[in-house]
Amino acid sequence: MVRRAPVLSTAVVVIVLLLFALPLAYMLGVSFLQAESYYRGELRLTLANLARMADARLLRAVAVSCGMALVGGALSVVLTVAGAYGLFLAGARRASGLPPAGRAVLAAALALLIFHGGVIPFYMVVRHLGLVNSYAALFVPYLLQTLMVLYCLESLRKIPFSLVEAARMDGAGDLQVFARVVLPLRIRVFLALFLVHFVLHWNNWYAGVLFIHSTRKQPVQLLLRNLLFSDQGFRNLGMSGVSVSPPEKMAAVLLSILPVALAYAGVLALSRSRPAKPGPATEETR
Amino acid sequence: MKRTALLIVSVLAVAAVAAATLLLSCGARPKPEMVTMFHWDFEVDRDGPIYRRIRDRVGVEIEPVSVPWSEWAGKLNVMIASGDVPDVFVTYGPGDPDAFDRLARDGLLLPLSGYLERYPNIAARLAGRENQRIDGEYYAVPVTLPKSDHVGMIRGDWLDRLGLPVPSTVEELRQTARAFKKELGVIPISSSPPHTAGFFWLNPLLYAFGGGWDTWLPDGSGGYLMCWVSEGNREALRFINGLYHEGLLDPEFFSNTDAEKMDRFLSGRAGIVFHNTISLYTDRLQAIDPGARIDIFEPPAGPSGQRGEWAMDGFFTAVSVNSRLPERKRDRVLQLLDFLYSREGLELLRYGVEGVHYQVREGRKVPLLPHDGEVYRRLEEVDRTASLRSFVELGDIWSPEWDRNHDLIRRAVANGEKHGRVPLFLYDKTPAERKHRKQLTDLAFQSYVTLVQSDTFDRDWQAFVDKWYAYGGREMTAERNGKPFTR
Repeated sequence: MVRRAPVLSTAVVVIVLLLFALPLAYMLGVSFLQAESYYRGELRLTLANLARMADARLLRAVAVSCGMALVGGALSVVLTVAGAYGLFLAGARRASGLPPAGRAVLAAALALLIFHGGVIPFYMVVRHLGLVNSYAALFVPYLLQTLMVLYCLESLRKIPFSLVEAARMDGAGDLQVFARVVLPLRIRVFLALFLVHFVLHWNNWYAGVLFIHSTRKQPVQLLLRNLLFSDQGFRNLGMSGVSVSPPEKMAAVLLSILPVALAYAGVLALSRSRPAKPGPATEETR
Repeated sequence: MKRTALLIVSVLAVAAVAAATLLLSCGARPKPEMVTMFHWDFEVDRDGPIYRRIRDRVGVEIEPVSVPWSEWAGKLNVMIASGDVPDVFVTYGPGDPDAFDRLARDGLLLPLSGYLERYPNIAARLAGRENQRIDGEYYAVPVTLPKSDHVGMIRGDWLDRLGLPVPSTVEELRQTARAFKKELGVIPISSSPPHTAGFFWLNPLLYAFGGGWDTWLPDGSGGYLMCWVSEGNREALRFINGLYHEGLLDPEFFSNTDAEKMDRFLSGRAGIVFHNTISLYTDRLQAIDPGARIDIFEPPAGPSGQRGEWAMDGFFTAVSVNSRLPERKRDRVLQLLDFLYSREGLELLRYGVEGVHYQVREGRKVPLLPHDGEVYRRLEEVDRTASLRSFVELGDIWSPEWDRNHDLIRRAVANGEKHGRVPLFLYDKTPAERKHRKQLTDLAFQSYVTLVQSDTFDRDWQAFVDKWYAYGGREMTAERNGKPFTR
């Protein structure tokens, strides 16, 4: 029997969805408006805005952002899962929970959630690592998010440890347990982690400000920020001032969100595919 | 056979020695020095003709350290605090005396006086700027700017349609705004806050009533009082309050961005604005409506004929050199700056390379830049190295003769020269000013927004003035005048 959704909650969801969808719809609509007709209040559509904004500089910035989000997202998942898996195994092996070393690591990680050295020490560390003005500076300093490790750890703790022990008894090592037991059971969680990290890296315009010196290496979010604020304040005091109309700005925003939309679609498609079951023990592991 | 072999070996050996000598001699040639230069929105094109010309003339390679306009001061602070000081960088210089003094006294800025004999173009830039020295020493070279390029812009085609002249007084401005509202149904005057609640661009109205913007004013008895609490500003605010209540001033003047203000003007929802980006306004308006026209007007005169507008002291930023550079590199950096400040350097950054970016016909420079009809692309769009000009001069102080806005820009700059008022005691901040001035300025901005919308203007003005003096204004005024201030 199909349960009917209550009218009120459905209405609330629709309203919330509209609230989120309207700015997107506005952006989509305006980006196809002819710049002059936008000011005249007329409805004339064009692809010229997209063509003008899709110049070498924007496409290069999109490529930089795609690279930092893809590589950064993937490495973040590897590090996050590795950290959480290590803590998971260390905790599960002892009846009393994490060993002292594990607790120390967890305490340090938690402390970093609250305390931060500030921008200047952060910059100094990245500089002494020789990363300043390199593409790596855009994602390496942001690879590990403590909160994500904790989320991941909580997810791993929900796996019955008897499954891990059974694999162990069959002779599987930690990596084999991960590959054959944990990964199939938590693949959707890891995909979601990838998506979150992808978006975090994608939106990280400040790394471009802090660590990048060359405009050629700027990520697209920084370029957009500059573009959207280009008519502000003393912009004419810079030498780069070229007037950009609101439809053109919206076209640039549209171009820049396409990769994120594709990433969402890709992750959604992957997570909808049927997850593999834990693999049977092989001859080698017996 | 042996002799032949010996001969071949000898020839090869001689050739090898010759080749090695040649290679070594090439290696001995001094390598171009790499110079890091910090500025916002700055880039170089290493394969471009301007960059090659500079490299050939000065023997340096330039490594840009660029950052968007909105973040430049923050990033420079981080770099300096981290010990990663660029070789050449811009600051607000003497325009921000606290920060500039600190940098100089911390020994981060190279004292320039000892080099002025060797670098005449740097010396020429500093001539007449004795008031910018700290303990008798220069630490920065000003990047020149028009005294003021702010200008009033009005829809000339609307004036034609209504048979009105370009307004020259505040009363004519009000009458014109009323006509625009009545006949065209628009809210005629728009404004925006770049950083100051919308009054910055309206500052000519303050000067028209004998007030001012962020400056001390003579109090009529040999002393000074701050403009924010002057009678001139009070009367100007009363006038603006009237514009607001008549529906002649954009009700969102204190929250608009500059882009929103421009949108209102270009879409015909406003017809009068004050700004300094004339080219942006005219270019865009021409594209939207070829029949539209922008007229510019001088700061309007007040009831007693006074006119004026806020102005800078001919500079906005200043270029400093890292004091910790090795001597050889320091010389190269100064050579580079001296070249950029020379006539040849400035012409290179303004016009580009002859035969590539322009050619001379009958004694006049003719552009070879890509163009769309009569609109030529800017040099820095064609060769990014031209953005080095921002280390020399800024803004619309100059535009090429072929720029279709050339005459408008020249008129605006002349306007600023004529009516611009540089704030009094610009470099001379008393201890109380250093302590209170920013806070009191913020208080003025907040209170002015309320005053423009106020229905009880006189009472609210008095409350503001009392608060301003109580929060440090009394101490600041007393210190400026060198005597106890009672009010």
